[in-house]
Amino acid sequence: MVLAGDVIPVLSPLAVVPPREEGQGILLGVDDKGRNIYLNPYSLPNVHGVILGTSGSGKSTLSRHIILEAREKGVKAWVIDPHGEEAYKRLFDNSIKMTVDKINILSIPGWSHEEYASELSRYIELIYAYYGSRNVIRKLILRCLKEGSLSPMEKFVDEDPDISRLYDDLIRIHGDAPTIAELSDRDIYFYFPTMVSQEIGRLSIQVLLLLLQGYRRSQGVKKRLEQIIILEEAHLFSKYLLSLYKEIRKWGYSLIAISQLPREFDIRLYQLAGFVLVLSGSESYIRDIAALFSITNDEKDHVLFASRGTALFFRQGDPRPRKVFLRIREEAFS
Amino acid sequence: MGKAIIFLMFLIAGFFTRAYSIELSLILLGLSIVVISREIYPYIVHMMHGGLPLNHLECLRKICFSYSGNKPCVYLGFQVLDCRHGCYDLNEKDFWLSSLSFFSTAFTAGGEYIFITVKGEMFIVLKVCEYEGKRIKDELKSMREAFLRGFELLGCSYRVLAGSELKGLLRPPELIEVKTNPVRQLLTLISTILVSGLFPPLVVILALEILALSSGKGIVYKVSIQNGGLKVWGLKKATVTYTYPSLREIYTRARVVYSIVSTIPFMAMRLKPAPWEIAASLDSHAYRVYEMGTALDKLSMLHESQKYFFASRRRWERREPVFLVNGLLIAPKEIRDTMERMGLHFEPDMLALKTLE
Repeated sequence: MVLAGDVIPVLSPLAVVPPREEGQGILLGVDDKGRNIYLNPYSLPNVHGVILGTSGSGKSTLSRHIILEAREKGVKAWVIDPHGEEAYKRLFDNSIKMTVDKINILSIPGWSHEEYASELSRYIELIYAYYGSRNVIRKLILRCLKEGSLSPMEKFVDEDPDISRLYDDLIRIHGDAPTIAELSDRDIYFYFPTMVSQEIGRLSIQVLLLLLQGYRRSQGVKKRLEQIIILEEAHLFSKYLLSLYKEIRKWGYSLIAISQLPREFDIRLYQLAGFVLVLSGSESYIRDIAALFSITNDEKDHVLFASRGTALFFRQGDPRPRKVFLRIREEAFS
Repeated sequence: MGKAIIFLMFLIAGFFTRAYSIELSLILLGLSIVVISREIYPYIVHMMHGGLPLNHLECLRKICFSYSGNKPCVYLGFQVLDCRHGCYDLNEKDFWLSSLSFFSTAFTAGGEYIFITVKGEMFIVLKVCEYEGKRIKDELKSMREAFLRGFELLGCSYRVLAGSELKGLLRPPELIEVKTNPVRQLLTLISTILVSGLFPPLVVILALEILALSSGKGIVYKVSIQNGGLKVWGLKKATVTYTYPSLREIYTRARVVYSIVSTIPFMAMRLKPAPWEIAASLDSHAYRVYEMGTALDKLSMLHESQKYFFASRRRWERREPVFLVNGLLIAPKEIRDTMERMGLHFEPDMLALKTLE
């Protein structure tokens, strides 16, 4: 004879059954039960993700691992990295040093001239703090698009120092080739020279993402994931990411935003992301994570007491984060 | 311990009384065997059959059936796939309340429930035995409804097992079929008859052999020796029943089980809701022993009554349902030791395989 309390610890499904786990996808590591933990693009509402972790926690190493795993599954990858890491470069046959190597920013499949000019001018206004000049810039970009060159802007260089600055930056990015259609089909590592102004860095990335957005849209709806974009220092584009996260799922590509601190992003980004990977960090950093997701003390400890190699893995539709012991591929280490 | 002492007392007394009366000596020696007959019975079964006979199990698409004596029994199995929460993210109070409401609602429709855990996967088998086919059907239906209501309350998803899967659980791969050897059975019986002619106390063994033979309908199984280190353990006692564990203690035990459950090769527990009289006997026993203890001024009895009061309080204050339980563990000794610390005392017992019947 037993009472329920004697057998509950042994027979209650709540004490025996671990959260169900995926059997396929991008392998991230193992959980505390020794089961493989996968990021399965097809079981998530979208594959847009966020990777968080303080400096040295292994964000870039994890993203390189994801690239390698995704590549094996036939998914192409772009990395957009404002810093330029050798370890990334080694993984790619193609790399583009933005502002040194040019890309055609006036060939805009998927966009109408007006739409593209409006969008780009909106972001230029934000990046350069040209508040109130959006419509002027829009008009200039529209002319450039119509003529297929930046020469309409060149005419105003002597008259307006703001336009002059913008023109100087655009001319460092723009060239006749390659076009976005050529770039999109390849695995590419985009990086920057060591000394580059924040404005041109942000402008280049913004243009690149806008071009890709238009191009992928022009290719129509895709059922499977074809491309992932890894965006380092993604907090610089927090606003734009919000609109991308909302829109681009059906166009067959996903965006993984990497940054150090959870507060650097708009909270809505976490609500839209298909998954969030939280790497180790300090106590106050973990407190910020706990403000975003409900996590237990065990889960806090998991990323608090290990400097590297552990992560919490949150997936949309499953409120139970997995405590992951990362199993990073050898080639991903720097 | 008590049994061992009684056995030894009868044995020694049997030898010492031999000089005075042979008959008395033989009776005492016979009694010593009777005292330990329960303990030696599994060995006799093993000697007669070379393993343990279990009922023959036939399976259809979703159910299995067997005969318990002449009574047909039907089995329906479920696998627990996922639960919205678990001891990994609940606090002790929520864990307790969810689990208790599951145990209080899911197992209210009679019948028996076999919980099977195989390397971290959980299966629950509903079993109903009735003479009439219609009653089996009705009872199984109401068991299923109550059970699924409990699942819903617990927030768990499940799938119904196919008949072949269910058979694989009730006759797990750790068990291998053994062919009975009628010649060996006959020779064993004849030799026991001959020896008991010379030494009459062995008539008790003869009776046990006949009992083992008569219970030997079905297929004989033994645990595969290929599974090195695995032993068959039977649940002897829940050592925590007569305590008043806090919710925190129960929760901590659950956390320990959660951390080791994937290493348990096979565990089966058969629960049956205890009839009201048995559940109520906790109270009456507590009162009786207390009254005896105070009357005789015996501290040990007062202490014993206190233990029963604990169990009784759990039943009334925490509304814990009472179950009759059989347990089987096929695992190495380390797992058995951990279960011991969880309050479940297992001992080597081949007969525990009957939990799967």
